Amino acid sequence: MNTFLAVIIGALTVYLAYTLYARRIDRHVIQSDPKRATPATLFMDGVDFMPTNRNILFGYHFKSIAAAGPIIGAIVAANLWGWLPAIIWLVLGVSFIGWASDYSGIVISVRNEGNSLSAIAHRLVSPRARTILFVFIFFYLLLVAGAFVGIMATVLESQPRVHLGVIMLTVMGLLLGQMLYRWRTGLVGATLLTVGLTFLAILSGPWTEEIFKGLNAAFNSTTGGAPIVTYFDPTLANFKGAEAKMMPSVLIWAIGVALFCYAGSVLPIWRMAQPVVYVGFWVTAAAMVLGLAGALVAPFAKPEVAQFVIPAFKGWNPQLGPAGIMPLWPMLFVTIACGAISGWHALFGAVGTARQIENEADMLPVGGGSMFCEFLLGLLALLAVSVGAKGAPVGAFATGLGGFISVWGVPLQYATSLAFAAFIVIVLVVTQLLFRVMRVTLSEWLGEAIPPMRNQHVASLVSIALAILLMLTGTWVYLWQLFGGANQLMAALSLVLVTVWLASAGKNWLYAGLPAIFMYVTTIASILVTAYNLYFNVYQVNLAAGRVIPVVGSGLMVLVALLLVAAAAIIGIDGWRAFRRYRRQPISAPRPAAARA
Amino acid sequence: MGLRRKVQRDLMDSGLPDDLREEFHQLSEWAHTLPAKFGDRVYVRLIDVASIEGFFKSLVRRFGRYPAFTVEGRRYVGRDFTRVDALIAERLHGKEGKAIRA
Repeated sequence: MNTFLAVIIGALTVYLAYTLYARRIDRHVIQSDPKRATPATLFMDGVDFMPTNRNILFGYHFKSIAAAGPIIGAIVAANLWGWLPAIIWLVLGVSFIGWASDYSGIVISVRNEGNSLSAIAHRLVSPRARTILFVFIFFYLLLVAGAFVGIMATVLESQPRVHLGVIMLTVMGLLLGQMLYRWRTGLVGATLLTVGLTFLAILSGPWTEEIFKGLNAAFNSTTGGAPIVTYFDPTLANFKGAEAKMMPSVLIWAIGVALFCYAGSVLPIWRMAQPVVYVGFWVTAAAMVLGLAGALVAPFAKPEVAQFVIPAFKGWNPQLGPAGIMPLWPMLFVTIACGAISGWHALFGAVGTARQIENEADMLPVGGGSMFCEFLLGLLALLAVSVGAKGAPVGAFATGLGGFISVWGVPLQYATSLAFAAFIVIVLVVTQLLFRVMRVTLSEWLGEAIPPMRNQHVASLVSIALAILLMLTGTWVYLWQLFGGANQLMAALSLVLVTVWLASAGKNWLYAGLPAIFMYVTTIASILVTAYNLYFNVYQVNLAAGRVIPVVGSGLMVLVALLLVAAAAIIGIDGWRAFRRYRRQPISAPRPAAARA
Repeated sequence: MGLRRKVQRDLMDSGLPDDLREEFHQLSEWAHTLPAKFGDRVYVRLIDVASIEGFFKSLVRRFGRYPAFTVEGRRYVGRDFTRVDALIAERLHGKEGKAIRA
């Protein structure tokens, strides 16, 4: 296998699944009607409901769903089980489940007056389903935040070559905001200046590496070289597990990431979040386009970066730590989340994108199309690790992607710097927005009971502190898989809801119902396996060694895992009852809104 | 107000500085007057400057200041909306019975 064949498989998957399956469902089951008025056109208020051109909405939706998920998941899975199971799940997942989940999240909201999933659950399934979904979503956001902060802190600590680029991105984002919104400078000049300087800083990473290594050493000398946390990491020593140390420099970079997210959370959008996203877009777009095109031509232009060298299949149940189990089913299906199917996409599609759909004919290209693009990002990450990039997931991704970019004549070390920076940018811009949502969520839920939570600074700091606590446990593999499990469970629950809605409308429910059953059973099983691993592999080992932070963190994660399973079980039971009720007697579908002239 | 709406409101409120938000509202109000003035013969497309599309439009149309308008290729930069109305009327005059894009 080589990268050319894999890219062709990816392109064929997108073409065949979209034209032969997705379009048929859109046409014959959902019966999307370009003349039917959408909530965006009916309730346009300039805030929530805003009809938006499909091309713009596609970019907005894709930017909101693409983060670390498709990258990390594919690499971890390839390392655990080999590239073959990973690519099979990516292809089958996106073809039969992923696009259906993303698309249906938008459809169900558009056909229900722009209501969110929880509001629809309240109406169609049961009143308690709504409350349970709220709780579920908060813990889900916390897991995402913990996983992302942990990954970024580790990468920044271990890759001093990306520091200057990330610092420059922040400074240039702030400068761009000032230029555009205060000085009213022309966009073209401001873009050339800020994006140009950011690229320059990223590409000069290898020259400044030594300076930041020295900085890390200075941070670590504050404790005399002693770690701040010692924990048991089951992924070390060839997956047999070993003691690991978290040095002060990791915490310092985590605090740096937290400060960035705090600023992104409390400053006006125009001041920081929006311009940083804008500058970051150019960095990631350059890396992704050059990388994917490089992977396509690599077998002919630079064969040494194109051949798969890791094993196609490594085993059904690789050992992970002394007591850990990692069976291919169900763990593969949550380890690779976003590239194959993701609950975040359905959640975001229902609460955000659906209210901007101008025309029902846009639902498939925007929702399904974005999911297929996310699949390509996951495939690119899988290619990067399969051609032999070694090390931690992000390092493997950056090294492999750097190899593909180097096909175009960019020296490898600069290409790798660009790839590292692209990864950090992708995750950083999403994480700052994530903390913004968490801050508002906390204020809304706890503001009545705990008045200080209404303060945006307090709510932001509490959200960030909780995420850092999870990160300090050092159990990022399990945190990642728990996040993946919660994410996939969210997808399963949204598919359950879509199935109930299809049954209630007397439509063929199989395209959503069969994936819902598979994902529901698989993800609950995976969360239980993760809880088992956390308890026996991390909690007990660290408890015996008297390590407080890893014990508290892993104990918290076990509790969150059990809470997620309980919540999913209740929604599943209520969903099944509602499904049977509607199968016996469908209710009439919501009356179509008046057709536009 | 629901949670989603609070999040959206938070994003909207901090999306633009006060003066630019006021300017945006004026622009929005002006856009809403167009159907009364020109019926359905004008197709309006609003583009956010700080976006990728905004970048390419600025590059192609050579805009350096905003708000900026093009009416079938004719450019105007400034806040005097009567000038834009005049531009639209002028273009419509030359295309009796046809719609134009602004």
